[in-house]
Amino acid sequence: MAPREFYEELPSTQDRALAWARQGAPDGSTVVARRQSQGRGRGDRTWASPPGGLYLSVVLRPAGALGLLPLAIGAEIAGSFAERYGVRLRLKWPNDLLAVDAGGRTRKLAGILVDVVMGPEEVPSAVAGIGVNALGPVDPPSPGVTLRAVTLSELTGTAVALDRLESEVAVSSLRARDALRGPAGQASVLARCRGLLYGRGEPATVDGVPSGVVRGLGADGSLLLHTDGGLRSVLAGDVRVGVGA
Amino acid sequence: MSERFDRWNVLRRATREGGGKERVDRHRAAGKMTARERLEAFFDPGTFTEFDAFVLHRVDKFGLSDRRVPGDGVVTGWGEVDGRPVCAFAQDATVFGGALGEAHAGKIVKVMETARRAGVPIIGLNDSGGARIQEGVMSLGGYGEVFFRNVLLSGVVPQLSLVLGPCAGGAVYSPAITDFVVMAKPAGQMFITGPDVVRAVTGEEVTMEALGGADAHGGLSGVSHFTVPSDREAVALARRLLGYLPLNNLEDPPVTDPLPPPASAAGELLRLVPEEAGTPYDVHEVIARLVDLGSFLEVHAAWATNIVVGFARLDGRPIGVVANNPAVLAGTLDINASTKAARFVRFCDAFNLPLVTLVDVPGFLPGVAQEHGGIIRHGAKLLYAYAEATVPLLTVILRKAYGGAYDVMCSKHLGGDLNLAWPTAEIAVMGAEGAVQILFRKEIETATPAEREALRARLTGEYAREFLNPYLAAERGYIDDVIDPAETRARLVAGLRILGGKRDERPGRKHGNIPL
Repeated sequence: MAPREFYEELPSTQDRALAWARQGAPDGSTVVARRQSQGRGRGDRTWASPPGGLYLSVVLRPAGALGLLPLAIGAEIAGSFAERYGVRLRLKWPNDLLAVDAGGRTRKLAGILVDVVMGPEEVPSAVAGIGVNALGPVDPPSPGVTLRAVTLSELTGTAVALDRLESEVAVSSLRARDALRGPAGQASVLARCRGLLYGRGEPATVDGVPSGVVRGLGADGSLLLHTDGGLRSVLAGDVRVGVGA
Repeated sequence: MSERFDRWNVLRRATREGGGKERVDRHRAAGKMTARERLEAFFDPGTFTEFDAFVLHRVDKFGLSDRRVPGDGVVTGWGEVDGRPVCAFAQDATVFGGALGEAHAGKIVKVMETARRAGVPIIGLNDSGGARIQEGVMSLGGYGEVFFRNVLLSGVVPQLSLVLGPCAGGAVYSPAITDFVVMAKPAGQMFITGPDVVRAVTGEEVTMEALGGADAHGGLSGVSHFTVPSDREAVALARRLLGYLPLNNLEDPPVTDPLPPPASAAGELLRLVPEEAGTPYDVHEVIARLVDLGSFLEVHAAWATNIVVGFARLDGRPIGVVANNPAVLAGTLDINASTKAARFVRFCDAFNLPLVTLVDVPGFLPGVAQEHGGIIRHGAKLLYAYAEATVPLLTVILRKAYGGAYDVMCSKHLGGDLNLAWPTAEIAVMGAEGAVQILFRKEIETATPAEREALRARLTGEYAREFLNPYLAAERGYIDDVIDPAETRARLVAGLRILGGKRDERPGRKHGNIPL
């Protein structure tokens, strides 16, 4: 069993796991908290972290193909949740998992954040921070948040087990890292992510500027946009696709 | 004569109206069934008979003298579930918000006493704003009388609570004492102090549902054993649950015609459990292939899932199943898993349900939070519960059974009647790596760095061959037999048949002192 740190409350599981990884945390080490006071999202956004969510950071040591890692983890989680909970999820570039219901309504279930650090023996480690809205209810929509949230228990109609969910998500992260070994593995992960990509054909904005229509994913995990000036590949930036774009 | 019947008819009609059409419509609009609709859905059609529909409160203060509603906000009575008698009460949220006063509590106490004397299960359908403030201390007295009966009935007749609306303040302790709590989403809510008090005292901002909803209690606190999406599913679940239980502690659980396990069952078992002790698998898959087809009803499915507990049938006989789950936290025992399994074991023992324990446990979960949270006294509960149980105890060690956790998981030493092991079983004080690190520390430290890994690997291999097997335990009779996994179901069925009449009288005492 890989080492696991459990906290009722932490400022951020990601910050704790990063510090641990710098000191040489073994592969698969996890930090989990029942709530976070300063949960982090991508960029400088916060991740609302009330009780009832899964807040988990996993140390992946070593890790490669870092541009693809968040997508690969998302795809693994989507596969695992489909099998176990019967929910259909889509990948919203670069790091969100959305539930799409029969009426086409899209709601956010989970987010993935990957940071990279150097461990003591100069081995690069990735720390994957994953937040899943597990138990209800979700917070009402607030200004600046474009997507409504949904919980896994809302999607399944019953309470889901946080400890079990934790194991599933940790295993998915390790699997995603392993799947990215070698060019053949990366190609197969990309193919799966392309199949799960949300918003194909929808307009997207980059840093608030309308920038084109989503075409797909590049080989490096970038988002391909069809623009007036031809195909453009977006590697970073505040991208909003479809709903709320 | 006809005048008397007219009066009877008028009064009887009034008893059915609850809080009046307007309130009933509002209640239904919120997606909830009325108290009577819930009871009618729970009992076999046409079997529910109400008592005390004419009861009125006797309070004159705060304008209550003008507001007397026949039945006083709770519907009580008896009926049948699958042809077997059951007593019930259902709070009516359309009358005073279901708030509990002296007369309301008196009705609940009366139907509980009926259940006790008749020896039949009692089920409470909770939907109440809490104490009826206008009745002051009489409400508190009423709650106390109910709690006292809950304790008197505990272990005598099965007690179920369905929480279908609010259940706040002291009122929560009645469901808390009962054997099982079912909460319906989103209306079912339980808390000692609500969001406003929490905010005032600790500054925490939280909604009612997040604080005390079905998800919170099914997934975080463990107060609720079953989470369901509606009233209708709550009563259906309660009916199914009663199907495994005797009417009272002096009866045996109801035996039905046996259903087969899944057809391909036997051969699949070995494939499901990886030989390598650290590889996870989901023990639900194993349970499903041992018990009668579709008969497993999991309790606490979303809480402390490193251990799985629930009811099932084996050749038609109801049993309780307890199984470590290597898919979660490697199947270790922690505080929550220990208390979850301990209470389940005690319930089964109280109501004559034989226990089948499936063991694959690497030990107790390490950690400061666990030690300081009291894993010593909580882990002791499970040990105590097994040792105290006098129902037939059947144990199968599938793979790991390390350290103290081996003893705890219904070992021969705690009173196991039939203790079996698969050839993949590893019964030892600890796994190979850990043991080698302790036993051969000097040798490993003094080896040259070049030799160190090879030495460690050789010693680990030797230790594993020597100690990680079921035979050292079987040589001493701690294991009755080492069996082919494909025979597991047949051996359990046979064991259950032989042990069906088990008698194990213990020394008389007031009660033991389980570490709480």
